Amino acid sequence: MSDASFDAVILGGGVMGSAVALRLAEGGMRVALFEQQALGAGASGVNAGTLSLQTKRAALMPYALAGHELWRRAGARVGYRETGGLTLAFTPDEAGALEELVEQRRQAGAPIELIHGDRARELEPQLGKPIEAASYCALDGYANASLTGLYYRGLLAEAGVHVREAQRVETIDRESRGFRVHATSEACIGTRLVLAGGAWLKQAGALLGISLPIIVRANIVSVTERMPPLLRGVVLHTYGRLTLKQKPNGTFLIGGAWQGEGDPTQGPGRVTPEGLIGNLRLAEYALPPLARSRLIRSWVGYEARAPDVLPLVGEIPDYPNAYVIGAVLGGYTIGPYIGRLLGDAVLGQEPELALFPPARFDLAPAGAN
Amino acid sequence: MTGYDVIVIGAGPAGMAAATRAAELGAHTALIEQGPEPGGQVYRPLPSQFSAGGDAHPGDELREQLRSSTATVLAKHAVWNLADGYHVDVIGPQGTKRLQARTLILATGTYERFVPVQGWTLPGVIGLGAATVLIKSQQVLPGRNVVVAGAGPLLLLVAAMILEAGGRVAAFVDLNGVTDWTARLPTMLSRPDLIWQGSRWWSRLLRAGTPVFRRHVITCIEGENDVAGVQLARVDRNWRATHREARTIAADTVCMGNGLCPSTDMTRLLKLGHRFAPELGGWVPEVDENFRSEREGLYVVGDGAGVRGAAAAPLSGEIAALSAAHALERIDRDQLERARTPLVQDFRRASRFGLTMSGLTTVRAGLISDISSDTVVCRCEDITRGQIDDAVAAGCRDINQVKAATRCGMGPCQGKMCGDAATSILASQVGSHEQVGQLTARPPFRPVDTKALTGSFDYDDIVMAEHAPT
Repeated sequence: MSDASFDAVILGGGVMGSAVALRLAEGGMRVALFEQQALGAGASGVNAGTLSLQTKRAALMPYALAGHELWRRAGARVGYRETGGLTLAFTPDEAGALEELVEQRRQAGAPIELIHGDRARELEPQLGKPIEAASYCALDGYANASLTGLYYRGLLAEAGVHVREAQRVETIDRESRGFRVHATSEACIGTRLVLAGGAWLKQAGALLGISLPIIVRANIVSVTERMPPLLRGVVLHTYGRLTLKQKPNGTFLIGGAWQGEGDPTQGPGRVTPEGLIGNLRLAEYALPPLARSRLIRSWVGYEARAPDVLPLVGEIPDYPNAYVIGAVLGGYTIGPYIGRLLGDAVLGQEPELALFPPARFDLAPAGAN
Repeated sequence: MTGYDVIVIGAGPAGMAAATRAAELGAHTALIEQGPEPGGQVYRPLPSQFSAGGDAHPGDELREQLRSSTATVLAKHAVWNLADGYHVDVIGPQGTKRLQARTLILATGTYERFVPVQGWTLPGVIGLGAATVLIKSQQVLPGRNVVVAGAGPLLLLVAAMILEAGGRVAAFVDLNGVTDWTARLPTMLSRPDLIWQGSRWWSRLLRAGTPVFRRHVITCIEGENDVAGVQLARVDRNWRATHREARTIAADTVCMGNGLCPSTDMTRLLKLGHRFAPELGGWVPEVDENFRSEREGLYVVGDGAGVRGAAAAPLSGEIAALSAAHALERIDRDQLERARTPLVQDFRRASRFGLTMSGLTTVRAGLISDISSDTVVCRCEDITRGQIDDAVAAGCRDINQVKAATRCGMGPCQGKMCGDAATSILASQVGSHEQVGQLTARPPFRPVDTKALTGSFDYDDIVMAEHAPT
């Protein structure tokens, strides 16, 4: 009965859980955050760090623009770089698709322009041929996702959030005072509960007795040895299957959500030769000098998606004061902002942009009806 | 995909023996080796151009047994990825391929352990193990005027080899004292051949008038663009530097090392359970008395399962091969037990000796606490001890947090050079190696040419099974 009590308890210390926690602390709440591994140990810390408006769904563009702005303000603490980014189309079909995509995203507010393939090669002379068409966004760039944990650990400590790392939540009980949360070696009570478990959201939901419709993806990311300067900005592909950037230290970071394998409950995912080779081939096709690079490391970051590929952000139906946040496509870019939005809702304020209430899905566990 | 009953990775003594025995027992066996020929680090063969004609070479017997077995040797094949099943992704002279086996025997040996010291990144500083490779296999002296420093039996071997090959040993700097060695005499008596060899090496050193510093450590390697000399200090029982030597010892080369760490990249990638066992060289995968892991059909043999030395390694390989052959129903329980019993006895005897020797290299706390704040720990990324300490001050508690915060261990060597030192520094502050954990393993195990993976392809060969949602 002597467990510490908090105004809110958050499960998950990635970008989104941390952003919610910071907002709630700012709003005067006493907040505890439980993280089963370490802050930023999941997708928040192992994604490729791309901050691009050209890879965002039009429906999420206002959120992406706001999230991008928050990373810009974080600046050097997260290795933020605004380099500009190109999306390439290699075939006439891709050029047609790109034109349509650029139009949708422009209408959603992203400053993206369609450019000629030759213009793309003027911007990045090392790109391969043929480039049928391209689009350019001056705001595109990247941050260093490895620094996510360090960045939020500092901010959360400053904000007075009670952060418990390596504390895996094992049970959640609803009682009159709120939610009693039992973790590895600690327990506490929260008047409010926020599930921000990323790829582990399904397991977090199960603790509460709900079935969150989470699809887990295992995205491959790779890095090369250092190379001479070959690329100024970020390079992307029309169909969204490539992110390529050369970091200030000369290494190339290659992503694009090619699929590995794995189950988040069983530890790190596995790189598959098919996924890795496909990803590397597309990167090399875009930037032929990569054929001379050496690959030093590939890994898999788990990403959560909902069936409609829209975020799950809002109050959980039938569970007053319990909230969920996750399944945000482009969650690294959007996370800091959408976390604040949910924080506003938890504080009882009207968020400036709409949330994505989970009530659109049936959350009853299978067999419950 | 090519399938085998047994795939053995690594053709050192343990791997050669495992593959030979598995093949003899009727298992369809492949032995994968990154180097041009079987032998491993300890029995590394001379390059064929060097062939002196007919001279027996250590390891020849194991090599000959392997050659006359039915095991397929895939030399010049680097394993870059592994998956349950067991799938083994290799890059060989003909490109990439995926092999499959019911049984996987990992015999990947060790890395050298380095405890960083001021100036250890200068050209002219090499590992004791690397020095043996240079001298034995390439017949090249590491330098003309060489300081040999660190701990363990390799110290004496390297110093003697340098003298034998006509070099000069500027100083022999041993962390251990006479009593550390004599305390081990009773076990060493089980190998009179090695005592005899050791005493010959000692007399070689004495005849050459080599300055010998017992219970000493290098505190600093000096030089601008390469090694100019070393500073030494006396150490206490905890290997903490106490009394600094006044003079600098001039040298052009330093061979240093503190024993060997089991190479656990593959067992970590396969998520085996590991335990921290300093007497076995550090983190070791959990295996039973047959060297079988908790995963069916997966074995870890040789020094990769704990540093027990070259005599114990082939025995562990054979024991694992027997157990695997039994699991594959090539032999029955009686045959297994009959063949196994004498091997186990020999293995125990050989291990006792090996463990006694590697115990000389178990790092003591003072050596870690003495690493100065401006000493580079991670050579690939130029990360100092001070930066690691700062990460701890910023709240990092496990080694992967330190890696993310500092880049320590993110370079081409993937922590093979710095991982042990960085985790030891962190453990000394956080409390234990168990709390600090191990670096997460990620493929490829060693850097690979991107082109070796991508091969030759057209745009249409890139199969984009799905497009990102718009």
